[in-house]
Amino acid sequence: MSPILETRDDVALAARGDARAFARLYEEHKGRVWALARRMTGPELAAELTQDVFVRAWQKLGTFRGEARFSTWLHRLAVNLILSRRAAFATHRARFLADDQILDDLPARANGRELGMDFEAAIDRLPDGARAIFVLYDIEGYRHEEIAALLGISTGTTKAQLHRARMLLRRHLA
Amino acid sequence: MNDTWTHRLSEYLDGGLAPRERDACERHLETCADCSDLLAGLRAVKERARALMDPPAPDDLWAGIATRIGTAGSIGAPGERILALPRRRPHGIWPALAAAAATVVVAAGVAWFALGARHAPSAAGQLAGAQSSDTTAQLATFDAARVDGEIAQLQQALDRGQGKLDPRTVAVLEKNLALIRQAAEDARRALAQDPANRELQDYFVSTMHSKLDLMRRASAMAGV
Repeated sequence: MSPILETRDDVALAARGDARAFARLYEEHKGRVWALARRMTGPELAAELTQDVFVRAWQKLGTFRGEARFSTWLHRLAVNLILSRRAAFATHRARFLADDQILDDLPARANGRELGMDFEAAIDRLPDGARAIFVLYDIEGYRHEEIAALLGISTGTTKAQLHRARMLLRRHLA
Repeated sequence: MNDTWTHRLSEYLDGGLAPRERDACERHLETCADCSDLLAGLRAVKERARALMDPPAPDDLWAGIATRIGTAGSIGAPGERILALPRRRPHGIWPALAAAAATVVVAAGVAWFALGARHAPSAAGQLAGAQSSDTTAQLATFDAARVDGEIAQLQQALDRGQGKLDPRTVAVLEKNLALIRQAAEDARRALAQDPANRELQDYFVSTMHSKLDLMRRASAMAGV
């Protein structure tokens, strides 16, 4: 059976309360949800948030109509949940980071295998607004119009914040 | 470097400029080395972002999910041995929360029983008993006073354990209690700024519940 058909079956089973099917869905999709939460909020909150996303998905599975792929539905649910908690994240992050110190205390460049991790660390240090937009646009592939709608801001602002994020990050690849 | 096109190079890179603007930008890039260098840097960032591999998810997330959706102890993550399968009630958070709370009660009770009641009544036991009466009300909203009360009870239990426990155990428990105390304060401040935010309310209820749950279990296992 193809993975897509298998997922579709598991979605139907999970929607009827089959916890084993839901556990399989979790196993299949946890990586992407975790990566999204990790990049949008940082390592301190990503675990709780990933769990929250799957708990919410379990509660809302009955509303999934199959008009989009399950992965798309789950991803949108995850994005909405993460963005809805930005106030809490901002409070939490403020404890560790001041916007003025963004990226300045990271090494300017890493080599070879360290480069990917260094880049992830640099993303962690972006200011919240620029970070969310960079992750959604450059990593997750959302369009400016979609991001603007999700955040309740204009596309002019999303474009400006994306440019800001890239400008800050380019130093780590120079 | 701050010319007309500096702030629009990301738009150019993403194909977001109108044809006339794009042509003008390209003419500018032919003569401006700074902007060409900057564009190369922005392109490198974009390509790096596309090439990022997803970091691996931790292995220990499922247990918390299973507890909260009411399947704790009955179903493991795929690959683990699977036992009985309770059915999910469609929609509604209360059955899941009630089940999660019940799990805390059972877990704390089992831990206390396993310890053979060698010490004064544990915080876990006390809290478990207190929870059973008004779990729903406790979990419906973030009750700062209740959280403070639970933290105080855990602190008292920990104080009673001083001298009986390995100092390293006490240090770990105290450190975690301090983190929970700080998290409660963060929650209080965030909710004061945005009291109508239901998502925020749910988030703090959920996280404080799991933090206190974890602390109760740790305390029970340590025998305080």
